[in-house]
Amino acid sequence: MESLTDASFRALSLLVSGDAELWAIISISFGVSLQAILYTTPVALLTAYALAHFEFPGRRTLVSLFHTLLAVPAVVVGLTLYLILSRSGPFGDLKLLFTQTAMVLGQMVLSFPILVAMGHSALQSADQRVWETAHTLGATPLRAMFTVMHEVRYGLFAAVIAAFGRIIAEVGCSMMVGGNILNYTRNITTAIALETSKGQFAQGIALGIVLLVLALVLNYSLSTLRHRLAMQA
Amino acid sequence: MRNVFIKTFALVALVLSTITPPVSAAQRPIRLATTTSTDNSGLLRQLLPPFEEQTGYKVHVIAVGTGKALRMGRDGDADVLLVHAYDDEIRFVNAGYGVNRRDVMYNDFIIVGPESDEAKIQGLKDALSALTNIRQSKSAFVSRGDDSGTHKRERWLWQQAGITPGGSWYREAGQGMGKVLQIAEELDGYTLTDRGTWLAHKATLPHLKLLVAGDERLYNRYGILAVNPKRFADLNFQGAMRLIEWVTSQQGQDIIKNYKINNEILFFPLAAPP
Amino acid sequence: MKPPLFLFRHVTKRFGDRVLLNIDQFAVSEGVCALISGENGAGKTTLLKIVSGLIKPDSAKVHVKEVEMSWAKARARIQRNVVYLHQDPYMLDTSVERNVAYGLRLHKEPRASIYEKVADALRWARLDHLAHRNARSLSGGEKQRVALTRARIVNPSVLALDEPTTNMDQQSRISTYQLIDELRNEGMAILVASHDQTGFTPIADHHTQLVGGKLIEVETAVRRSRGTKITRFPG
Repeated sequence: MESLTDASFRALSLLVSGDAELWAIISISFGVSLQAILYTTPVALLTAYALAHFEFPGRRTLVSLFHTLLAVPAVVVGLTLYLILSRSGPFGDLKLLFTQTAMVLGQMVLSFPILVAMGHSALQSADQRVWETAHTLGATPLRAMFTVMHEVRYGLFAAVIAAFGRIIAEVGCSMMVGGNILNYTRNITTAIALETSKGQFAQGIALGIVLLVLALVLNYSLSTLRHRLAMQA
Repeated sequence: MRNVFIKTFALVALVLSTITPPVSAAQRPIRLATTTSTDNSGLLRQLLPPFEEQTGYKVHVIAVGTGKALRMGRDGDADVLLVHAYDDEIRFVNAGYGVNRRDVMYNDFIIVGPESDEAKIQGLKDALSALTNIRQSKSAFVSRGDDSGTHKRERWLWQQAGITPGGSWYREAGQGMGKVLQIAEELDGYTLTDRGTWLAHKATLPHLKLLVAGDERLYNRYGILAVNPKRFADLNFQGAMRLIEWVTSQQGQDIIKNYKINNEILFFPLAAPP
Repeated sequence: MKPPLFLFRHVTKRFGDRVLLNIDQFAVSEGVCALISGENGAGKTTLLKIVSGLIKPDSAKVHVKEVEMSWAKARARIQRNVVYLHQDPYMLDTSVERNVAYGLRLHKEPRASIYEKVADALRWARLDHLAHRNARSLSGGEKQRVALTRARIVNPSVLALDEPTTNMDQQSRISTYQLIDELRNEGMAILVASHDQTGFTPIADHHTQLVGGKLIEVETAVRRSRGTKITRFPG
């Protein structure tokens, strides 16, 4: 077996030499996850705002439902989406299975409850006076909402970062509905899984390094935001 | 005096060995690294239980691509390999990684694709012109992309046809045969598959159809070999040899011959009768 | 005499089983400073928030310039005309300048004219030296003045002030009384909820007390004539 140091060394040289296949995989990962976050965030934050701001029957049930959904394993989301998108499934005519769109959809489903749950607690922590101040100074309900969101922006950023961290590191759903097709639906995590099964460790290590660095960056920004949050309170 | 002692000892050992039942709980398991096709097709579930019953060995099946299986053998992570990449197997043995390679069985590769068959390859007897047509029509082709025996054969075929596959029509899945067939089904793509896996999965693939078969380039030979016991001390070499013996025995070969899915034979025995 | 801007009649508000407010009539008129006093928890804040359109009453009849309208319709009019100030005003997490500009930025005014107006308003409130400070870092009295300036700049007809002088030192109180008096003299209707009766009595035109959910008229000791300049404030 290739020694760990040899493999790691080759991994680093793959990274710095700008290996085309490797960087294609990395850009697919980021492309898919950023799209998913981009599409989910507005809807999720609106939902979170509605849950935090309006009193309506079933609100508490919904909040605890979203907290439950946080724990749904990615493979279950993958399986469900697979069955829905498969040619024998209800949306089979769209021919979306094993496409990037399917991966984006899966990651949207995965990120939605995180964004709602964390967004909700951030928005809930917002002072009632924010909304009242905005409203009384003439803000429309929409503008008042943006003002409230702006006041708890660090909490909302934290939600987005946490959600992004989860979906870019997720493997089960992407593998199932993406199919791990090279230059198309192979992202960092599915590539690592594949490279290991092929016995090619260098690329796996290189991609693992990318994920680790990303996790570091995300965690660092999260803790910075938490710090800001604490200062704000 | 010393001679008598040895004789007695040998006698005792002989007696003990006959009263020790062949099934022993202490038998170490045999690690069999094999291609996904033998496992996916269901053959191993017929072939291995009688062996385990008769010998008391447990066989741990690790179903991976041929490339990975060979690599596991090289790294000492498996005791015995059942694979299908003849040239690589010979190279493996010549390099001293494996011993006692035996032919086991054969079947053939086939090209399947969507019913619409935009590349118009149905009925072609020549696999290379089929691939050329697929390339020219830019129809989706799903490749195993996992360095498996099937993938090696596919790359060899493209090479023979003088084509370097790539571009958006050529999709490397990097997964097992069953999964690749599913992807081809969903994407309306063509793919190269072993007949066994195709037969095992055909029922769940309503949009795919067998289009090309019979070219001698599509001949698919499976071999079994033991990992060289000189390279790693803790290999279960004896178990590996027993398994090879079983798979190539008349009984084992009969099981292979009689294994059918929907009345179709998946593998044809190839081991010379002992 | 001009008809009141808003006339609220039969205002009720309950929390659970408890009837918090049951008010027959409450008028908001231009150029009038109305003081509402009452114990803590008497419902002063709730009343002010209803009158400012922030809380929906359980029932109410609202006359806007003598035209009776539904709550939903009246609420839009109220929102356009009334600005409510919290006892402890909320400062947006940004500079003093941007806090004051907030109301103007909601309407499509050109940036240049917004900041001109903001600069004027800050000078008026003697806050110009704090323009670029984060509003959160100010003292209680300064925050109150920022809130007042932020409210004044959107040019409301009515200011509803909730306990504007609690947690303030004497100096800040006096300048707050002065600012309020000035605004009233500009023709604004001022509603003050406060138990700081002594401080506001000299400038209040009208004083009611909220007791048991009802408003009771209080005879002010000195009925001042309109336009008198205030020079002295009781201790």
